[in-house]
Amino acid sequence: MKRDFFSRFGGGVGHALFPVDEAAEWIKEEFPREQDSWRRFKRVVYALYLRQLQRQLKGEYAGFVWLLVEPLIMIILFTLMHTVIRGSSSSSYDIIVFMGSGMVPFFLFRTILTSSLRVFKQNRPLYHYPQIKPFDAFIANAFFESSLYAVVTLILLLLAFLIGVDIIPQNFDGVMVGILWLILFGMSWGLLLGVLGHFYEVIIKFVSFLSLPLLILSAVFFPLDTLPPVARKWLLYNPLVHFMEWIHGSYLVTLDTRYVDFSYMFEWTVIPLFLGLWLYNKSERKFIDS
Amino acid sequence: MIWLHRLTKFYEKDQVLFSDVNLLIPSGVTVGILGENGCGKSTLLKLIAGTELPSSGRIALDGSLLWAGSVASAMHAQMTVEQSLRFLGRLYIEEDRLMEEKVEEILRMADLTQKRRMLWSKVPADLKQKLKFAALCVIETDHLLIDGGLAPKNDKFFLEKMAERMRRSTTLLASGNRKILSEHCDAGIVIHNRKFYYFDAIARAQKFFESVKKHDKADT
Repeated sequence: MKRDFFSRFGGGVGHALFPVDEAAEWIKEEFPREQDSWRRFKRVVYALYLRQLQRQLKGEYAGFVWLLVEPLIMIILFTLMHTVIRGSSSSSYDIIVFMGSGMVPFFLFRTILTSSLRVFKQNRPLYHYPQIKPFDAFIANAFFESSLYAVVTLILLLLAFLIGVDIIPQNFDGVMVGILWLILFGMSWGLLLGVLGHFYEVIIKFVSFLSLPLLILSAVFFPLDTLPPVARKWLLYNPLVHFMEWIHGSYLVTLDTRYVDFSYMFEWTVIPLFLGLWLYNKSERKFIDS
Repeated sequence: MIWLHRLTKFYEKDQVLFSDVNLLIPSGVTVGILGENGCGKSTLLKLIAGTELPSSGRIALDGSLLWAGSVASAMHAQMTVEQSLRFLGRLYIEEDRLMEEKVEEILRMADLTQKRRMLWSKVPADLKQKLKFAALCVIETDHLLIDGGLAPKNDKFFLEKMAERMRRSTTLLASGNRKILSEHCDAGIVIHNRKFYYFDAIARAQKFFESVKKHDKADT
């Protein structure tokens, strides 16, 4: 290609010695396009993922313990509360399983969302490499948090198994679909709010503040069916409620999933996803260029 | 091959570094960049590396690129030298075995084989410097961008290795050191009055730069 270029436009390289625009047209066609951008993406995400894993295992060991302890405390706490208030024999399903299948997915969602808010800023030094884009850091982070929670889930399931709880989900496929969709849901909102939060710090503060009310308002530790109809109607505006109801109802089929509205969940996933992608695309250079 | 088309870069409206410049750097040459302090030598490298973005115009290259200033960003203070180097290696090398070999080679060159498990924040500054150049020598890319020196404390061994490395790729070298430039570069670019002047021979670029400097002095 090099030889072609010089035979076509003469030996003169550099300032105004060759017909710039004509050459530009020629180069645009001949220049190798980024054909291997998918390979680049995979390579970079893999490298970033391992980097985050090593950091977590080295420095912040306490962080991982807390990741395990937090849902554990919540499960025990709410199970106890439930037993005290309603008595242990009142339900047809295992309360511990109910709490666990609500708490862990909820914390997974919350972690993906809140960690995405800072991921663009955190990785800024790495944008010195032309092959690393802020979006790669975002994806690697979401994968990382998800896999961390996979480990947490396995450990919690093992603990529950050891104390004699029946841990087998009754509708395994349903649970998996629910959790994978929830991850995507968390990523959509993480991307959208992460991009916005880069420009408006107040959004990050607001979302962190929101996580406790969200725990209460998302049907994490109670079935929707037990609520009075008015409360139910209002709670169903919260898309997270649909996810929680679906995961609960799939894990324990004695609970029903008739309040779950898939198209509502779909809208709340796809609209922020595309809005986030669009805004990201518009502002990518602002993340790189400080 | 590096191609800049109608490139403009400014920070504030009154602080224009280059306006509407075109440049084509053919594959395989080593190009020295000359210019007064603050004329945008290192900004040009950052633009090509993609860490800064042009105000307008476009930049394209046909292959991989390593910018000397980026090596330190891969090193995380709370990670070991080896872990950070593997991260750097993975960015450029797909195959794990080859990557491990390269990491080994970098550690050897920088005399860090014994200290591979050391946290980066605890590594002494002179070894950090060595590691930077070792990484530049070992990781092969189509394009190489260097600002500042070519070796830690002008170490003979590193100078030789870097000279070899630069011959294997398209290299841009921004340095204020006359001797380094004339020794290692084929061609030269002079940045003057917001424009680029490209010369096929570094000696002519240096001559032009001297005369421009003299001219400027006479004016003031």
